[in-house]
Amino acid sequence: MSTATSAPASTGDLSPTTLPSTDALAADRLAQHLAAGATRWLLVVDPGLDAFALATALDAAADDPDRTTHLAGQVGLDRLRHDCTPDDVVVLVATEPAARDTSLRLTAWGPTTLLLPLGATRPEPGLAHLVLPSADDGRAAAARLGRIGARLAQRGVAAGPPPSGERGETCITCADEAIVAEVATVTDELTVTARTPDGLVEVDTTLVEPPAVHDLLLVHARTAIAVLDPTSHTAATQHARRGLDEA
Amino acid sequence: MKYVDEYRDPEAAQALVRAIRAVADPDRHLKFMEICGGHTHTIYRHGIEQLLPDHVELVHGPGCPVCVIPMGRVDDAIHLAEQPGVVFTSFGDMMRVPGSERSLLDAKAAGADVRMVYSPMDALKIAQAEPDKQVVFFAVGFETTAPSTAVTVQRADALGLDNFSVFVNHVTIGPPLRAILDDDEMDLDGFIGPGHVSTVIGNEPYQFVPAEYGLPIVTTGFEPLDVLQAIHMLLVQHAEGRCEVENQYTRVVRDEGNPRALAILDDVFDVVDTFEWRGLGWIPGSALQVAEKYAHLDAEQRFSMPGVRVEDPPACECGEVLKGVIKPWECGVFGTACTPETPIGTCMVSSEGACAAYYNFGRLNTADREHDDVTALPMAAS
Repeated sequence: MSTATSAPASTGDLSPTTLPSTDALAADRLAQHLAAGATRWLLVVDPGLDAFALATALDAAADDPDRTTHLAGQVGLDRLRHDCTPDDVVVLVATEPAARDTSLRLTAWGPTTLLLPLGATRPEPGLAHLVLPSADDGRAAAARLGRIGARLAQRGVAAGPPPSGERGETCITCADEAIVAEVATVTDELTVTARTPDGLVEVDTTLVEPPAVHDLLLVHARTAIAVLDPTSHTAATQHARRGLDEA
Repeated sequence: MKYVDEYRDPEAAQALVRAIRAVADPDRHLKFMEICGGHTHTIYRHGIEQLLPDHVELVHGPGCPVCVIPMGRVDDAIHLAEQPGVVFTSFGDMMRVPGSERSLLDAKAAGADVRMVYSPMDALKIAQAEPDKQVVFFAVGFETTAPSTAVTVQRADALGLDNFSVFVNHVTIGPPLRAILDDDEMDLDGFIGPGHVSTVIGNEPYQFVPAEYGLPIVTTGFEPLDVLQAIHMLLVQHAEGRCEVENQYTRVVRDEGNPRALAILDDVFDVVDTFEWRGLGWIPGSALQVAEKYAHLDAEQRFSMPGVRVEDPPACECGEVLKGVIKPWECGVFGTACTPETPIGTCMVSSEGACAAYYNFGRLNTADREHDDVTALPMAAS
């Protein structure tokens, strides 16, 4: 279902040579997923941002308007939680802090996620992402989305290598297997059922504060070792922030 | 898990690579060790080494727990698995690790009841369901894995199960770091610190690295931008004449770690006097054993164990790889006699092992070094 919400914004100069490279790469990545046969797109956009051009381009490139679902804002998040599956591709067009919170939850829900960050505030390095925003206001953001859509329409979907969305084989024994999971139901004071890309799993919560439904957990060997707070940070990132500012 | 592009954005990577090149002193060769096998995996998978200037070198450390378990302990595990009436449970990672003659998978093929589980609680459930069997869980891993074993031991004790035990091979990260720093062969300039281990133990246990050895360490996440940012943070510390424990992985790691997990570890385990590490030898206080109050759940107390020390095959240089003395491809059997299909050493068995990571992802043309176009490298294609 395509439910684009407003009229197209100006797409500005469509020449590929003037595109910021991130936008070109975003369009390329969208096209690669289309070429690889991604079956359903969920386009999640902050309220107030105009994504008509991008939604239209996705529909056109997919050659099937029913493949793209356009969601918006907090309503979109709730619906996204309900609707999305690991087989979906989610295009998240969002400003902080929604981008940080939603992108972390998406790692638990399992779809491939393409984040197009927007906004005037640089994210905290090491917290959510390091992508520098390229638009300061809604009009510019809409124009950027329009350029990405135009690029997508221009390049077609056939070129480029297929995207590889899997992290690959991992080692449970190693500490690095820990995954993000979202609490679906609280079974008892020491056990929850949590949503992961592999489905619902029983998770022991002995090692963490009792979580609530929709809390995000870091889970290792089906044992929660931390409750994640997407908005928290520590002063230790100051050095990193300074380093990037200098860069 | 499928990825989120935000941590793999080539433009951000290019910015970080430029920042790394700007801050790295070309007159000084700096060598940083990534401790975790997960970091090694990320570095090879995404071609990060090829992005760095020649005077910034990465070496691979001992943070793959599968890789550091000595052959004698694997033989002990196989011995347990072959006892009559025993169900031996293990994570899948350990199944193919070679002992002196065989692996757990070989023992299973020969008739031993070896079962793969995804958590120690799964093993506990088997014990509850099959009370006529003795169920043993092969507990391997660093401080991230140890708490789940500890919780299971407490649960088994509370349930009064007498047919469940754990064969504990949990190791700790601090002592091997100290051993590496005390090794005259090593000449390091900093560490890319553990990610999820630090979720449990926090950042405080690393303070001895700057305090006693004058080196920086940065706790680091596992996405490519995390690793690039950590390298930049290490270089900035060097440029500014600082050496501190810094936390790049703030979205997950808290300075204090996980106090509940630490309390449970303290209740269930004691620190051993010494433990043998493949490649690093015997390291004092570097592993955990079941505490006296839970000794009835300790497989080493319940069963007789061979406990024989076994030397690595002469051709295998896993030990030197694990210490970062040589790179995987410098081992004489790498990619020839030793491959992921026919591993000789543990570093080729575990998917997080340095040899397997390099075999699978790292064989790029060295001419790609100093590549300015990040989008042409594996990170952009992944």
